[in-house]
Amino acid sequence: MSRLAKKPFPWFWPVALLFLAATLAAAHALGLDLQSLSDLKDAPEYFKEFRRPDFAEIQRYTKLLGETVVMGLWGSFINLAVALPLTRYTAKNVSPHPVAYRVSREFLNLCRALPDALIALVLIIGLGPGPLGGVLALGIHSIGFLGKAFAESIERLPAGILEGSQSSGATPWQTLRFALWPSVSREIVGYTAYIVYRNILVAVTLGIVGAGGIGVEISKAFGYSQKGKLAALLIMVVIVVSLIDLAADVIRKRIT
Amino acid sequence: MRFVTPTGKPTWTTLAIGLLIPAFLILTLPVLNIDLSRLESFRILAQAVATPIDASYLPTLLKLCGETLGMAWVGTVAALLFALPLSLLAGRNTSPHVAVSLVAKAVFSIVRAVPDIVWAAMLAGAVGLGVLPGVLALMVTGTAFMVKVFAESYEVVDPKPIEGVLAQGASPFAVRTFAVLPQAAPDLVGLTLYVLDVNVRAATILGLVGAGGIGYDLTQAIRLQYWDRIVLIIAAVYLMVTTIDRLSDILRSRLLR
Repeated sequence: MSRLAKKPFPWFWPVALLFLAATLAAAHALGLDLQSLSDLKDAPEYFKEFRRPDFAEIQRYTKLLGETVVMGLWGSFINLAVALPLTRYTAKNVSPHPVAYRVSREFLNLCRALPDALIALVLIIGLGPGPLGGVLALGIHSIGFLGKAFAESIERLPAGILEGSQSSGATPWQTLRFALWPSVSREIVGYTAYIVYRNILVAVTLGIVGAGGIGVEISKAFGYSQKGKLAALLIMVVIVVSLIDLAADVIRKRIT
Repeated sequence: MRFVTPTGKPTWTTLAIGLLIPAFLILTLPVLNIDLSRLESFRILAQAVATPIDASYLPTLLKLCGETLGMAWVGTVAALLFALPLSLLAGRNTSPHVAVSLVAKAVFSIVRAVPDIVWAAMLAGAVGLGVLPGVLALMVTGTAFMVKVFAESYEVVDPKPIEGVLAQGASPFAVRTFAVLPQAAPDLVGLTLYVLDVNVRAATILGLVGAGGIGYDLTQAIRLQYWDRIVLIIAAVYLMVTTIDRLSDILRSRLLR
């Protein structure tokens, strides 16, 4: 009885109240109050103009959307090509030396630290506008997420799997191939599917900061306030991105 | 899906993937439009790092960093307040009806397919420039993401406590409060911290479309080629993001032990 009577989260209400108080204070400091929320009443007027999508230039849009998808896929390829071999050092239980572990982990943190759009903005200064800056920005940023996720799934493995294969005299390569890979390949495919989806979604954003693909056109439509074009572009983005989201979900659910 | 046979031979799936990836990369290489001669201009960036910093900009920088963090925080908490009830509608085992769950999931997957900066630009057009459209954009995308992942974590809870609570003659509301939410709570905390992380990064960019935070100053500095400022802003963003990252890592490992 006493175990049942014990509250699962004794600190829930104090923490929740503190949380809300901090939020209200932050909102006040930002100048957000009920007065500013009254601006919301103008919103329906603005969104009304999105009702007539203008698909006149659909062929060009399709080509640009293709460019965005290619950017996302190339970015994901760079992520995988760097993050996957690096797990040799970033997973604590297979890393050859604590220093190698620390250094490689810090490298992952470094990749993840700057937002992808900011990396793209900086690269575009040097490379000029175009897909290359975007691909490199995606390629750098998501190494961090993917590398950390891969390393953590290897670290979750029970120690016996590694010991078993090493005690049978397997070479490091054989251990990787027959003990590690079969145990983590599902998770790796799942995380990769998520990153491909995320990279394609972010590639749209990168276009808006100047890195090629359909985002450039979206940015122009915003600039000239062409709501019809904007509606058409967004409909196309939503269709493609949701389909990829769905495909990534199906892959994740089927393999896990 | 299998990638190797038990004897270690690659399967057809592996071979197909092994062929498709290089083919795709080679075929799409022209899209990237690689021109190595342009790398020259990176020398400007190297010079920028060597420029002495402009101390008079520091107070403004500090204020804008505070604004960026505040936007991320308020956006995330607002998203959490909306996502908790909405995700209960979307979870298959917590929804009042399967149809409600399907509709909720479909609606939020559409919301999620529009990038945060596009939401920010549209909202800036709708409610005027400033912090408000930025916070709203982070709230909208945060809610959409949380509804999906919260619903998924309700769907994998252990059904036995649900049966136990039901056997006491509990109301549907009590089942969610006492059987589903406590089991999913550690997941929800971790996912909320992830959203906060994502939102801090996003908030640094939204200024590009006039939605508050440090992004506006950054794009202005890039346009006007104020190198010392660009370097300062990037360093500040790096510090901010890393600090939040480490804090949420510590919090997560404390809470989810």
